[in-house]
Amino acid sequence: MRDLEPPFELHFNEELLHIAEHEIAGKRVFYVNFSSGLKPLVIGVGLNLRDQKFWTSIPEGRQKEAAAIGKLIAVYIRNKRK
Amino acid sequence: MCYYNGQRVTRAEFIQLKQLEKAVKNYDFLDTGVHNGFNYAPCAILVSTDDRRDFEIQQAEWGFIPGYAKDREEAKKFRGMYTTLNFKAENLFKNEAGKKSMWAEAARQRRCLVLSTGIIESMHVPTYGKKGQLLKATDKVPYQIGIVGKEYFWFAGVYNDWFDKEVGQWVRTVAFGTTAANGIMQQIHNSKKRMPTILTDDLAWEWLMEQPSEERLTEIALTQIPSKLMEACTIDKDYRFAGEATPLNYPDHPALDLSFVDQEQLDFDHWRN
Repeated sequence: MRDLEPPFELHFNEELLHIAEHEIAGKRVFYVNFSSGLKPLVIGVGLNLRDQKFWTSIPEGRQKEAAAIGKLIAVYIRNKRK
Repeated sequence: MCYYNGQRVTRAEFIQLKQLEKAVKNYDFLDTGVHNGFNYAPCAILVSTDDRRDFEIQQAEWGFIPGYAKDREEAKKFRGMYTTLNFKAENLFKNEAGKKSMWAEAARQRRCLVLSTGIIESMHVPTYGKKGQLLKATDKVPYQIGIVGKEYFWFAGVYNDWFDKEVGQWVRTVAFGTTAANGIMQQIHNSKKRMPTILTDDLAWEWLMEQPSEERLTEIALTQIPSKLMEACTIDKDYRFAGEATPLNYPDHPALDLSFVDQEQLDFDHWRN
């Protein structure tokens, strides 16, 4: 399994996100802090009925942000590996 | 078929995500870079399981509250009077008067490890008036101190569960140990000349998982990490408000004296070897 990412920063909708990865209850989650002071967001990866992975907010309710920021995180991690 | 955030997932996946949700809710310390003790904010601790075969990460309020505190008001008074963020390793079982210390029972039965990624302490710097006279007020220059090559490390801690009647909930509260400062910490924490008890992995295991004697527990609590294993840098004074430590150079502030570190002798250097 991939090592936990050290904390990193990404830009999203003209604001800076401080992101830290943690392992909780056997799952990897990303803790996202918004520089604007917006309520922090926890996102993780779920598996849907078609066995496809999807980004989700934890708890539910901020799916749109989770999907968008999750994609950015995935790109960041993929680019780091190259 | 179950739903999670608008996606259809299996029941097993739904349960797993709900469990994760519950776990995340119990970890609201994760987004905090700097813990200010006087906010009594939650911090991460390791506690052994009842059978002492495993341990788990939990959160606790920093600032020990004894079981007899009736309400938050009394707890606040107690914390104000005794500053229960830390215990002195020398007083783990006996207080200054030679009587049973307030930490003794927790030290025997409720030991934990407090997770840290860095310590923040301020150096008190003398200030001078216009005529060059020494003023009573001192300036404070904050430092962040870490351990070379370690992203996180452990303080020896003790915890107590206190029942908050007003909200009908048990609250886990914690304090960590302090010991005599090493050479670097004497320069930085020059007002009290103390530092947290930072444990090696082996001592952390012994403190948390084993049942050492009172003498051995005191010996562990007195552990002094040598200066040469520490790294320190000055940080912006706004760390309390910013919630994170930002390195900042103070041009007029002299550098720490590190000339002694290779010859340093400490009474309780259990980090040697």
